[in-house]
Amino acid sequence: MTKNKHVMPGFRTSVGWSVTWVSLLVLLPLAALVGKTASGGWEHFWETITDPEVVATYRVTFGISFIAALINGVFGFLAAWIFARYDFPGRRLLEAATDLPFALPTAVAGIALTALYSPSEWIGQYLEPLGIKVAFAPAGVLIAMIFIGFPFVVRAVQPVIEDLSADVEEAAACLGANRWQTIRFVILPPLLPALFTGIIMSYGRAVGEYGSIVFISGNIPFQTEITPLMIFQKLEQYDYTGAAALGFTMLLASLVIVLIGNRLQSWGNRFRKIA
Amino acid sequence: MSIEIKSLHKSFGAFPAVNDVTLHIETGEMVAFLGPSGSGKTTLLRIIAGLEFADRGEVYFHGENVTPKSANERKAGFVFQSYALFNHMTIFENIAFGLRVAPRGKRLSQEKIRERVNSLLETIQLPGLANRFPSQLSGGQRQRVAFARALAVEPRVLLLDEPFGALDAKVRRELRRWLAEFHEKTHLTSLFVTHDQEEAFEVADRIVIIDKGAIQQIGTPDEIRSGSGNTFVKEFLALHI
Repeated sequence: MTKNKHVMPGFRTSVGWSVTWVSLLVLLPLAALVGKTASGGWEHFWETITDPEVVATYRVTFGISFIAALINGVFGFLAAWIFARYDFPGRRLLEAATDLPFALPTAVAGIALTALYSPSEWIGQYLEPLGIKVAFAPAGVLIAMIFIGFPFVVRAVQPVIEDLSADVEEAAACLGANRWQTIRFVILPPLLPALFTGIIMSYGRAVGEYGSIVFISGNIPFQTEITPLMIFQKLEQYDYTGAAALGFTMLLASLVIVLIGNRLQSWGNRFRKIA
Repeated sequence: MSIEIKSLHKSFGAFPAVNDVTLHIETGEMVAFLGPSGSGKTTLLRIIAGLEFADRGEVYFHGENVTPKSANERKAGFVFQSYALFNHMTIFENIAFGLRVAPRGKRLSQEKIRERVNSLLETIQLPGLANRFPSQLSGGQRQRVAFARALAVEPRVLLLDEPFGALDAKVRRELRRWLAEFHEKTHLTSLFVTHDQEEAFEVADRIVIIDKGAIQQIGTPDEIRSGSGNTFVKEFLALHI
């Protein structure tokens, strides 16, 4: 028999704790969800998740979230770049403001956005004559999703930009690369894994968002209703198995998103592997 | 290619990093900038490369005034103490980088790029490592790759900023000898910054001793050793010899 060769002591104890902890807090509720879904029967499950109104919500929840995540990818990256590379008066305040959506109750965000974009309010009154409808329209859902997902990209990317050393950029310049080539071939590739992480997290957050969206979207069936709202409505109607069915569908979708995210990340990280 | 530096000034705030430096470097020379840390020798090298811009004064490459030109227009071969390799690229791609970003009209064909990179891998005695990543190489190997990368674009001048500073003594001696041999063969105009006297005296044709941003003495290793320098030079050399 070979002896236990782990460097860290207490390996068994810590693994035991971790497994128990994850099981109790994550796996058990998920299993309960699956159990609840199954208790309704296959027919009820299928009927619930293919109901036309529900199917329309998938488009909003997964589609608009995706657009929001991409927009956050671009502007979150820019913000992270500026926070990491430039110092200007008020930078710290702006950085703190970026983190606000993390801590803000989402209903507050919803009220604030509605107060801005409703047809008679601050921004809304100028958009209305232009024929642009934000509140109570898909654009409102998009803005709410951008709002709550933004800090994820900034926080994921900024530390990696801060870690980049200036000398690789200088090396690229001495080799004749112009600014664009330096960004495209030298700066961006090492940042991709972090950027993917940020985008995926922001996507996941937008898919699960409820509080801020229900205020600004107006919850118009087939237009601005989101899947979490459907779950809430089913619960209000005491249709617990129906709610569980939708929950299960979202669970599967989230799982796929997380898996894709991990794939992208390990692809972006491939050059870090040491043989 | 010859390099001409005329009355160069550079301050960081109130601190003068380079103070009225005038210097002429002949084609094919190997010159060492020697001085204590904070003496301004690295700043001087970076101004020559176009990575830093002087407040006053001019830099000429072979008679051409390059003062307003940026680093990517001057295309001086630059080797950093920290290697500054592109960690996400293979060794091959690192060396090929300068060839791939060349303007379309001047870009070599894939075939020619492969030939050039492979021959450089031979030159730095690391054939067979083309598909590795920098993180898989030792410090000495990485610095040799950095050399090859700088040489790939056939620069008219090679600028080395403490190139062996991060290496252990044995590797440092090996690479130093390799650099001297390489210079013997190619006579590529080279400037290197060092605080290591042994290195300067062994490799350089001429040594420029710098302190407080100003040139204290210029001469061949023999001239410098003869003790004709000012008080600073005498004290600086006495510290080590």
